[in-house]
Amino acid sequence: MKRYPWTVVAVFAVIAGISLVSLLKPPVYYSEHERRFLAQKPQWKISDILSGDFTGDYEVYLTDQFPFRDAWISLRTAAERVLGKKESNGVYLADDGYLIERHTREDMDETVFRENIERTARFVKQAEEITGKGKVKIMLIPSADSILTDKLPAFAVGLDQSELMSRVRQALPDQYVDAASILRKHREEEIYYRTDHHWTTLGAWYGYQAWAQETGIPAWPAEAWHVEEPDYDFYGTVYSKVHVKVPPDRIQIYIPAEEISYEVNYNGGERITGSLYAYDKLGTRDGYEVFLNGNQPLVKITRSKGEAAAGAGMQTNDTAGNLLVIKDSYANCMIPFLVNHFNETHVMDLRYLWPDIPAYIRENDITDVLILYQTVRYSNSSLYRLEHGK
Amino acid sequence: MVFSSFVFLFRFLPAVLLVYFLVPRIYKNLALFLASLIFYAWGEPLYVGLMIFSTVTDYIHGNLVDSFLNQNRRLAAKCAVASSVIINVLLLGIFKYSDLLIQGINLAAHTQIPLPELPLPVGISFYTFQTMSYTIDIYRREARPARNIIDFGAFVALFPQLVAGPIVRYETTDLQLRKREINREKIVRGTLRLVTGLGKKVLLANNIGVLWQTVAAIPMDEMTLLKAWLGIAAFAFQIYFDFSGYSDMAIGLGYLFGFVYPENFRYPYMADSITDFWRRWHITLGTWFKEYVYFPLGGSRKGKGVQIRNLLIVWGLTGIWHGASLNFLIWGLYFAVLLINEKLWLLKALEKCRAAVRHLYALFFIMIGWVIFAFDHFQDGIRYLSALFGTSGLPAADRESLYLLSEYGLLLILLALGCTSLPFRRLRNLASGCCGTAAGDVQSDAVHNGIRCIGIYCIVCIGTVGILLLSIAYLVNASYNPFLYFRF
Repeated sequence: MKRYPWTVVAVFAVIAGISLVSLLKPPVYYSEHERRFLAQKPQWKISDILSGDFTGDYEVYLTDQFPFRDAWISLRTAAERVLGKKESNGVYLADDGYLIERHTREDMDETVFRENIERTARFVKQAEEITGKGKVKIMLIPSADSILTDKLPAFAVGLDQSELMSRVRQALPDQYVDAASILRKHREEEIYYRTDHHWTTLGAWYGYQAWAQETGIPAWPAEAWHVEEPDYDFYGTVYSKVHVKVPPDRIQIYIPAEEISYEVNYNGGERITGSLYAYDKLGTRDGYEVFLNGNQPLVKITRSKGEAAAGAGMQTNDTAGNLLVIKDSYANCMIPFLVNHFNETHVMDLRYLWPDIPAYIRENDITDVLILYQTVRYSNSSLYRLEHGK
Repeated sequence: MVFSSFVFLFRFLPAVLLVYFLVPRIYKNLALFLASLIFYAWGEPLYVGLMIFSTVTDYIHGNLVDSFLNQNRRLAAKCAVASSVIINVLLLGIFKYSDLLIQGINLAAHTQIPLPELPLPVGISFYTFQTMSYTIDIYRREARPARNIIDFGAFVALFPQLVAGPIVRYETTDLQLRKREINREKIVRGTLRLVTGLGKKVLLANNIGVLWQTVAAIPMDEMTLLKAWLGIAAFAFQIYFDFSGYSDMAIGLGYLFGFVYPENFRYPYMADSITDFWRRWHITLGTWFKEYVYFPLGGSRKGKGVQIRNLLIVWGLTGIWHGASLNFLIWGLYFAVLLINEKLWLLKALEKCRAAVRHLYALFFIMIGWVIFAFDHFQDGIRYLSALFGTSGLPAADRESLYLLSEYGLLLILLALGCTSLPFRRLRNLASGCCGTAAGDVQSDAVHNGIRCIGIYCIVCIGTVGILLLSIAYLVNASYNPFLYFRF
């Protein structure tokens, strides 16, 4: 036993070293990897100390600011792999370099889901009174673990998202747009990012096809676009949960072959640009924000009239109404396909906005509505604001 | 504060070690006492008052008992001991069992007394047991009163064993509180033990705990035979590695401060009877009940009838000590029934069986015990048991069971190995060979031996540091790092 003094030295060197680094390291405010603000050192307050809040906050602060976070996470994933685990930190280490978020039955909330269906049904009725029948659509996009099932580890089972979607379909048979079937049909293609929880632009392209078929609006053919692939290595949110070595993703941007000009108005004039894409976001970690600047409360896109209509062979004037999209981040990369069919496209994220939607529809002469959510989110976060607008 | 947290590993521990080694000898107990108060107050800022109250009361009682005995007033001394025991039991009763008692009263008398719903002070079951042992040991003349309240406070509050044991009886630490030596041997042992314990808790218990958590969340109408067995095996591994890992850390930290604590676990799943299991599981609790309840009640010396009664009392208490809920009482009595049977006839019958049969018998009843332990609601426990016995009417396995098996299979095998003494024995055999005097007669043997020594040395060194680094890696992103003894 006496023979191991160097072990003791090594152990305490690690402990002392990490202690010192974590004491001296300047605090980081935002983690681009994890897309969140990190906890900062809590202030001493007697009331917080007595209630135990201070100690809790301090522990979160230490963990958030822990030195070399990413390296530790890689080490952990490597250890899990050695143990033969195909899953780490809620992520399947799937075939072909895919990192796929795992969803389980705990990820859905039965009450919220049921209420959301009822809410959507009431909302649809209300909206259709204004826009007329057949003009309101709902689209649920399944996450990768329920589509790319061939790539998952053997026997993997998770939340049954098709069951969730079929329940929505039953409740809203005339409004439901079936995106899952077309995605499943194309599951061999790159319809989901390998390192991010979103679908790719190609996935959204298929979603656009499903939507077009359901609305009767003729989708633009593939020849009407050319696909850009900016030189940018994308490592998404799922990657930051496991930090394993996988090839980076590429973000594709579909540009109409004919030049069309847009006016993109963020949050009622807060910022106005001429592009659907925020290319500067490709210099940051979260490249998915290139689409419409990430999550914004309200975006209004106006297509310049005349110019586009002149485009030979493209039916841009087919509806020429105004579209309202109520959505989460999955919609961001599909909206560039939709905008060309309308004069104005209004994009609303109810997480950051609490509008009186029927009034909004009237005021802005909305003719078409699309509700688009990722299935799991639709099943676990309340859409209370859909009908209780202020 | 818990040992498996960054606050402890990278703030508290280095600071306390530094202070402890810098202060002069006479202040070491004071330093430990103050550090322990901070340690406790970190998680329980208000209840630290309760612990100080308990410390002061029992210190005074101890001195009273001693002076009464010196004056030969045995009755007065007896009263003082009784008073100390009553106060401690009352503390436990109020803070731990009041909800359960009132629920019982409400049920029996159809009353509507509101439940106080006091949060349970962490470690109260441990430190009240320790302070009780103090006055009782003095009364029995097995220990002298502490020199001063600082020494006694250091005994009660000592942070290594404060929240989850081992339960140290005063008699065994009395001398160490007065004079203890810190030497190289203790520091090496302590460090290795501390890291081993951390690894057991963070790498083994937490990871297999995720499997148990997953299974526990599965609705009962999907609980196949395989899932149920995977789940309860996961629970058995989790509670053992969590608890014994925590004890290892406590013992290791004790060494670093010069204390030698009693062992708390001795490969319990290698037991070949339930009697044997309880000699290996949470040993210090068993010893406490034996010393202060079972023997005073007459133990086994007053005939079979009294012995059976005593076993029922001790195991009922042991059960309810683990948490204020009926299932713990049932769990304790379940073991009492098994133990009584073993004492009366079963052990003799088992002796005739092969070792494998004896081990299987013990493991089977231990696992069934964990089902009772794990489910607060008896109904859920019963349904789980029916899944375990394949009487739930479901197929033996489904996709999900196979997925869980493939995800956790290797870890389960490692855990099963880790429950035996095999890995440790192997390492010790290898290590002992290289320093043996018998070897090295021939020159080439010595060289060969030397190489092997360096090999072992590297294994231990790299292994220890590796466990530490891996544990940190798992803690950085820990979604699951529970503290299992909050109900004890």
